[in-house]
Amino acid sequence: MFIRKPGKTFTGKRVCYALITVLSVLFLASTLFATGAPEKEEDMYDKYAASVPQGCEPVPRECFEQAVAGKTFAMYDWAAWWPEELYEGFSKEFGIEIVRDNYPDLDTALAKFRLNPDTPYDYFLANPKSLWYLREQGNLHEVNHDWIPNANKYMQEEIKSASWDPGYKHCVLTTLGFDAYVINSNFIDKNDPRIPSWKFVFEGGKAYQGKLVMRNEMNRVIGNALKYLGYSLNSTNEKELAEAKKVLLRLQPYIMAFDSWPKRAVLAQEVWVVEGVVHDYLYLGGLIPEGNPFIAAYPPEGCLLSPMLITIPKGGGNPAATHCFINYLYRPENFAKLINATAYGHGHTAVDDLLTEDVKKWMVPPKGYLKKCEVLTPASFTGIGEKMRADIWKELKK
Amino acid sequence: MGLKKFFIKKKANLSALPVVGPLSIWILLFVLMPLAVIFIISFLGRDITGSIIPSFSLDNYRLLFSEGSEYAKAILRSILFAFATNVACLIIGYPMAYWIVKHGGRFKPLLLLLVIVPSWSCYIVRIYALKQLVGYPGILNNFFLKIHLLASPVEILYTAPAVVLGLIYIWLPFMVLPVYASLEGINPALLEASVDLGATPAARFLTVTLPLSKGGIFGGTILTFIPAFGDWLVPLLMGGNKVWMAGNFIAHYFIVIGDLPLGSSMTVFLTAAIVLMIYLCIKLGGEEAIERIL
Repeated sequence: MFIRKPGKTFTGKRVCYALITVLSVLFLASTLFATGAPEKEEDMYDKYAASVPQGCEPVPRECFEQAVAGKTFAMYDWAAWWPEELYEGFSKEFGIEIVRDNYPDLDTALAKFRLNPDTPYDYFLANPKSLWYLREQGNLHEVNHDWIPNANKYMQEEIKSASWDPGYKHCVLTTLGFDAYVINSNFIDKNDPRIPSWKFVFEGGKAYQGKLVMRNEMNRVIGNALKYLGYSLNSTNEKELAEAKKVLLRLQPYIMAFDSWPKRAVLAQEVWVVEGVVHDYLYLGGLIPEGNPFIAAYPPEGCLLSPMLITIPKGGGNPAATHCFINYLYRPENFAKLINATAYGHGHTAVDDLLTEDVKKWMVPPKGYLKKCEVLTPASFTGIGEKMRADIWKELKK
Repeated sequence: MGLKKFFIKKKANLSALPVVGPLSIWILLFVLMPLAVIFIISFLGRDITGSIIPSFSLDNYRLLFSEGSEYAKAILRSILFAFATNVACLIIGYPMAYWIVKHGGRFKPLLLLLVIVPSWSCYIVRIYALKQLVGYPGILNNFFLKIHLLASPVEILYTAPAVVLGLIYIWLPFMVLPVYASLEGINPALLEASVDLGATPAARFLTVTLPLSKGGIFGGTILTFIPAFGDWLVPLLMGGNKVWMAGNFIAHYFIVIGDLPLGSSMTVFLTAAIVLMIYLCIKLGGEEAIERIL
């Protein structure tokens, strides 16, 4: 403790003041020199437009200026899936701070929008179910196609007329997942004649001795049981759903768990058969040091197609930034980063040459397979279709 | 009540206002109001997109207990699991607490710390640790297979017993602590008196120690039975989402189906059941049950 003695000056205090003054001057000087004069938006746009790689288009000036003026870009998507360099690159290029929020699954995300339709996100990576819900509620901005020249240029024409977004108004496709199954070839005979049919999953319980994990999503599980039976996975036919229920109840003793992302169990090779988006497990299997034991099975009966779609909720304050991000993502080299990191299917016309051999091998289903697949439609997740599925699901959870 | 007495009582209440006021506002805002919202929603309906529509009906409550209702079965399952958890926690926790009181000596604080320490870590981390321990491949299975004590692995994970095991593992410390507090509070003179009167150790335990630790047992029951009854994460992680308790139904209806009114009616029923159980515990355990929790 300092005790000020009479007749003596307290030099410590003076030194403190001097130090604070010097530090403040240094800080101010460094800030001034570091930032210099603020850059004009005009210059910023020109600089951005000039930096766009050859073959790609910049967003229009109006879009750019609105996005930059917004300063932040609020994203709501999956955690630890897309490569971080995509977000970092965007932030650096546009000078926009990304504020990310992640959902554990899309049903939870949808519940959030149900409770607060004005949830302030500029970007929401949706599936057809959440897209339908937000669109019906009038909670989505329409996409301004003039602001996404790269998506216009590189997206396959068939994708633009996809059933999940009539008129191609409210979303932009990123990846396509095939919700089929994978087998662990260390434990399962890959020459089993039932593979790759759904017969192996729904009839081969003894072959995998209860080491089956199914997604914890009723529409997908029941949908794939309907596919096995040769019906549409969006069926609302009572008889067909009763058959699906019978099949699932027969399968129940062989189901180890319902888990939408059994990463730990897959890496520990506790699981021998996984029903889910095959690309996730092929990619995950690549992390096993002894070599990737997982083989994708694309059932000839077809399966559920899971497109991931960029949507622009109305609650956000910077929709222009979403357009900038879409345009940035659709540059071939950026889109290739996404596909090389996820091994998902896509609808981009110019990335195939930029993909690694492994990813090409994993990502590609048999030729013409897409035609056998279906996406979820409102028939299966609303009204009587939803009620019948919920009843089956409850019976499976005893 | 005379007028004078009434005013004296009023004055006393007002003087306590600065102390209980903030707490009352907190409870009103963050406990009672959310419950009131849930209660109101439970009588409403929803449209095809899942949005709540203001149409009053009792349909949601009727659906809960319609014939063959899976929710009613889940409630019974939850009661069974919570009861099994409670009994197991008591069987394991009581001797633990007794031993610490009796033989802990100067190590009592350390032993109590060892009981509490696991509950300082994250709930999910503890469940994953348990999964690593009892799963296959897992530490225990691998060890017993290696020393040839097991011919084939015991695959307990993702079953109903695994859910109960998870609940016991999580809630055990909350039984030990109130029981310890009640045992520690027993006057040793009473035990000595019973010996002087010729009671055998067993009789002394049954006629003196056990009745005097009743408050701790019921306090522990409130702290283990109630959270176990409403748990949904343990069934999700230990039961592989195959074995649903009442909480899982609520989560399913709120999140997956998006039927907030039906989910709310389930919540109201579950809350009512929990309040009833707390009331019974306090009734049977007396004020001491609450004291031991505090």
